[in-house]
Amino acid sequence: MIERRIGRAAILLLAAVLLAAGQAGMAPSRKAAAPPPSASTGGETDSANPLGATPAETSTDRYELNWLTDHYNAGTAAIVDARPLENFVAGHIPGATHLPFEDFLSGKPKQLDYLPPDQPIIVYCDGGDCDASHKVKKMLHEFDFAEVYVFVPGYPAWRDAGLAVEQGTPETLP
Amino acid sequence: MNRSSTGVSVGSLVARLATAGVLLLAGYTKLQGGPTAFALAIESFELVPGRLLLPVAYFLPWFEIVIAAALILGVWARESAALATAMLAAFTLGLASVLVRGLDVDCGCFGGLFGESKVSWASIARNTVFIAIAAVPVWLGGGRFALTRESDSSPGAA
Repeated sequence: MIERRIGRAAILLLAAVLLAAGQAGMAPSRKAAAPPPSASTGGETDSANPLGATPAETSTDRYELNWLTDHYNAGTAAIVDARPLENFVAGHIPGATHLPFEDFLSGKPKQLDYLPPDQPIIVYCDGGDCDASHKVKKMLHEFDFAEVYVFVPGYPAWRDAGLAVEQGTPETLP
Repeated sequence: MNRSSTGVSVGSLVARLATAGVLLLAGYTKLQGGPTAFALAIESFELVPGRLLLPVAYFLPWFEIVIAAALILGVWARESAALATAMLAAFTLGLASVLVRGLDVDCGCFGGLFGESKVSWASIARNTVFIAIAAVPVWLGGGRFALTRESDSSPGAA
């Protein structure tokens, strides 16, 4: 009797799986947004420890704007903007890759192919209560990007310091 | 059928339909919001690995609806109710873990239909009531108007 009950429960589960698969199969695929040619990703780096962090400090939060600008200017890290598209379009750090958390929900985002796997990544969002950058950091770890930092003050700190900003949509990948 | 068994049968029917209503509402509101929004709601609980968020977000609403449909029709009522009870218990454990960890998380349980925004102990109390109701057909069987009947569906049969 117990086998029959388990079988019935399995059939109900299977029905739900099939319906969910059908819905997922009908969902429109989204095109990922390509990163623009990046001034921040092309520099020479010390691949062993490019941001001067100890192993214990990797993937931790950073608060100093100088820390970000130093590595931005030296091109020693890739910059990732984790904010929604409308915020990115309104203004972002020049050369930043637009990579919101939602892009991970459809599998591996194409933007990851453009991020240097052996280079540190600095993620930012809107500062304050914004936790999008931490979510993106977590996902980057899942895709084997080992050294990921969050610039906690986010885009407002960069913009309010009068540093160069860029506007417009990211390029679309094929 | 004596008066006692009639009461049991009707009680089981009411519990079955009540549970189905809860699951149908929960599943429908999740489908209306779309899988991405639900995946983000799941993510905030910090319990599901990132790569599983979207599969879970696709699966759960349909699971709720399939179970609800089975309960409404009275098809395999014990099994359907057992799955509903297990699912509600899992949700409740998730809610409790959010409170224990001190996370400030939107419940996202019924698309905000009940004016509920954040996970609270009231959410857990509500779910506990749902679990108790969902467990009734597990114990008593499908009750009246169930499409499938079992030889062991009498009250108390395991």
